[in-house]
Amino acid sequence: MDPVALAGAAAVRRAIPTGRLEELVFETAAAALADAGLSRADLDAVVLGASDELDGRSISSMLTAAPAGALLKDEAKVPDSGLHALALGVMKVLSGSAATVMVISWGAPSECSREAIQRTALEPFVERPVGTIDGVAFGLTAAAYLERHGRALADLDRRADVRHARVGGDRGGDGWIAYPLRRRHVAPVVDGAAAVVLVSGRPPAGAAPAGWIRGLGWASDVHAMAERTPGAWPALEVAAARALGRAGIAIADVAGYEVDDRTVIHEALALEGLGAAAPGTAFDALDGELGSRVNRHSGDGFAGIPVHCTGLWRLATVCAAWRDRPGGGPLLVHDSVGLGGQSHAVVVAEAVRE
Amino acid sequence: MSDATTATEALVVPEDWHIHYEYSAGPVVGHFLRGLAEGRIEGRRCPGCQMVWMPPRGYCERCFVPTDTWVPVGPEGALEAFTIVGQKFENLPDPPYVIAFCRLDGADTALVNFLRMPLDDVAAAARRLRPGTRVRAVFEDRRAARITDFHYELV
Amino acid sequence: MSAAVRAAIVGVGETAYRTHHPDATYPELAQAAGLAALAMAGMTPADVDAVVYSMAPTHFMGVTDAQLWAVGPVGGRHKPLMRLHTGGATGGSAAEAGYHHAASGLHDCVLVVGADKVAETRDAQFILNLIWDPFFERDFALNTVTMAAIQAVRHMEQYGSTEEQMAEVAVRSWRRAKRNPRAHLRGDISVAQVLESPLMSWPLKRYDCCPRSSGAAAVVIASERVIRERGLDAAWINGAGALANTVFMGDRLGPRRLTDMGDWDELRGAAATAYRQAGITDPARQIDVAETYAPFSINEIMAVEALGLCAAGEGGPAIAEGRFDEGGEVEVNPSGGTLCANPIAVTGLVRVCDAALQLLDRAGGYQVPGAQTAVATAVGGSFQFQTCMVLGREPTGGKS
Repeated sequence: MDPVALAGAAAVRRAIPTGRLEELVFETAAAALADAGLSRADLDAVVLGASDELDGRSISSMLTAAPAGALLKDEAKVPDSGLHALALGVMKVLSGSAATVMVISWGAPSECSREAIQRTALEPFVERPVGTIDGVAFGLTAAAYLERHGRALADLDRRADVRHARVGGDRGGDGWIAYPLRRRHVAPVVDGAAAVVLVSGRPPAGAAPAGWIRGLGWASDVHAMAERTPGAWPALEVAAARALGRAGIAIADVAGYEVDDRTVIHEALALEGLGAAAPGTAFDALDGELGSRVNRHSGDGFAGIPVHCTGLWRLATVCAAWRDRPGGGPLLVHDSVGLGGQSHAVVVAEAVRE
Repeated sequence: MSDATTATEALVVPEDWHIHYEYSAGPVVGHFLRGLAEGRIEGRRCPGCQMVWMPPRGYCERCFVPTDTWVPVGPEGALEAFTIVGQKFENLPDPPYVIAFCRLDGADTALVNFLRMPLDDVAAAARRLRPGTRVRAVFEDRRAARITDFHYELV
Repeated sequence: MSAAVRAAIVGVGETAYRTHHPDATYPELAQAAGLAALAMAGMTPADVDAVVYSMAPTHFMGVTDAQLWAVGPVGGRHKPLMRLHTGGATGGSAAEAGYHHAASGLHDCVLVVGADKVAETRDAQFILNLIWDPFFERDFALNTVTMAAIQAVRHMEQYGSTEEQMAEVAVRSWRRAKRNPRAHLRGDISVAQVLESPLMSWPLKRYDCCPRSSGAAAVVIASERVIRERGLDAAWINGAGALANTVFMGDRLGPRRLTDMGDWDELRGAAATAYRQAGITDPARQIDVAETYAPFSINEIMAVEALGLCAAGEGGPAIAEGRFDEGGEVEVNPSGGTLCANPIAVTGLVRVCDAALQLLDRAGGYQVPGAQTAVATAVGGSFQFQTCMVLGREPTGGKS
């Protein structure tokens, strides 16, 4: 596919809210425009990536469209995730319907009870009574992985050790969320938002892009975890193949990975699904050379994961890093959504050549 | 969807939800609501277009810059649009009642609230509520830092 | 900007619309519409490259992220799937997103599908009140009915539209719906019956208001290459526009307003984009059929004005004198429209379905003979989001 420019970006992460949700949205959108050297008047379209349930407002875009810059503009909301919203934004540019698109996503878990919401996402007849919400689903996913690949709890503990040392401080403790996942295997969540401004291949004069989107892909698996593949994420493999294919590169060309690392098992499954490590070997690969190329720009999620916008937040953080230091090879940016990683989105992004 | 299912009653699974939220009001809305509790209504002005926004917000949606000044508005203003609710909706007041968009003096946009007036004849009341009709914001004796701390009345 | 790839609707699927569909689970309902659309296109789920899921608030059917529940049944396993949600405009936004999936050159065959089951809860109005700002609006009965009523008051004040003219919209919609086997409401009602029906919110009475329906809808959108290769009948997507406004209706009043609550300026704007892309310069002459998302009678009056089918303020008299009825220069809502069926999550997609069926000569009892150009609209939020899609029997190619 034709590359699409990342004209500007902004990423916000905070432990407690400083204002109302709409103000967080405005602040992030305004910062992305400023980074792009553009004004709201330059926008043709806005795509939101937000969830009503997390926002605590039905049709939350009613309140957040204008703060996102969409007043009297083309606006659409893709609830799935920030990277899914990005996919629609990219397609609007490629279809020729919009030359400049704001893509913005957020999550404010400080305002909602996520576990109650997660329960309502379960199929109501056979799943909800059993209650396989996120924490439980993480445990199931981890157990299936260890079983299928003959790995051990010690692998999870060891990876958590490394990651806690990286961010300084070991929080959570050994208690089980759901065996074999301990509280310390899981990243804390924080409020956050992210926005990128996309422009078609000929950016407006004066706007130096932070980087380029060279390819993207996304795919979903079926809802029932029992009907999926234990210990693997085939939907991610599909998404990654499409992203790499559209970028015209192979996995060997990839310089780094910015992946969903909300638990130590997500990180491993993500790297294997992307093709960065062979099935069952991610923990070993992370001990080696690969470890230095994972989440190097966006940082370890153990420092705090902004929910729902996580992948877009990682991409925006990478753009900020590229402003300081352009160059380096293509990165794969990944996010997963849905219980046990039901849906995945992958972006191939690259800095402007120095 | 086969015909076989029509012969027996379809199975139904009941459930009730309770999901708790804590909405952050933020400094701008917080200031406004606390002002209401003190009997004060203020709008927020944009330094770019100079519009005084009601309800107040921290940013101007048109200029896309933060608003920066509190501006007292009212207590009188003009009715701009209304309806008279005739049905009982869940968790909402018993009908009939008027909800009205009124632009208080000093504000550039209208704010919705209940308007109290005699409603024994709905059609007659509707005829009285022409756009431009003068109204006044009247505060309740007991206030709770909520939008319902005041209502409109015809002047 | 010119489009990379031209695309068209090649298949349409709709279930019947009624209050309850106790005979199917939510995903089964969506699946039925999806399979029907694929069948019309001579395709199977294996042909689908991507799925766009049309779903608005999930509170009615009670499963958050319903699109994730529906992945398997709609043929989305290991395929790209994303959901669109713009309130009432959702179906229109989903159809436009499906178009972009193909027009971008990234996908050849896209299934746009969704469903709603509005009667899984009796707390519908309470849920609808959750859309409002918790600080400023939720205490009031600001809901779709009262918002529409406020628009009606404004339109009456500005243009002299009457309650009788609004009633005519309802009478004609129900009559048209008699030809649509899928319509939820249909029959012969009189202006007097409409005027005497219970007051919902002045000036709107019960018959001025849409129902809440359960049901599903789907379209298959294919790229030009696939259409030519397979020799498919096609309703070409020649224009797709959308416009969003602020949630605050008080901003759409007063001397410094940019748009007016009494006019559907957002639709006028969305249509301007779509018309420019499709080469529509004289809508009343060039458009044969308009499926407008008008959930309340006043909205159809506002829609025909905003679409340029008549002058501003003329909508009431034009509809009342039958200008947009069967045999008219432009037939409006031959399906019966939203007043006769409103499966909220997909109503906007139903408008697209019913417009496309006209150009595929598949509209059956409500076919407009020889229709060449059709328009489909959708509206959502505080009547703040509008989409407008222009379809044609021939592709119009490059865009300005």
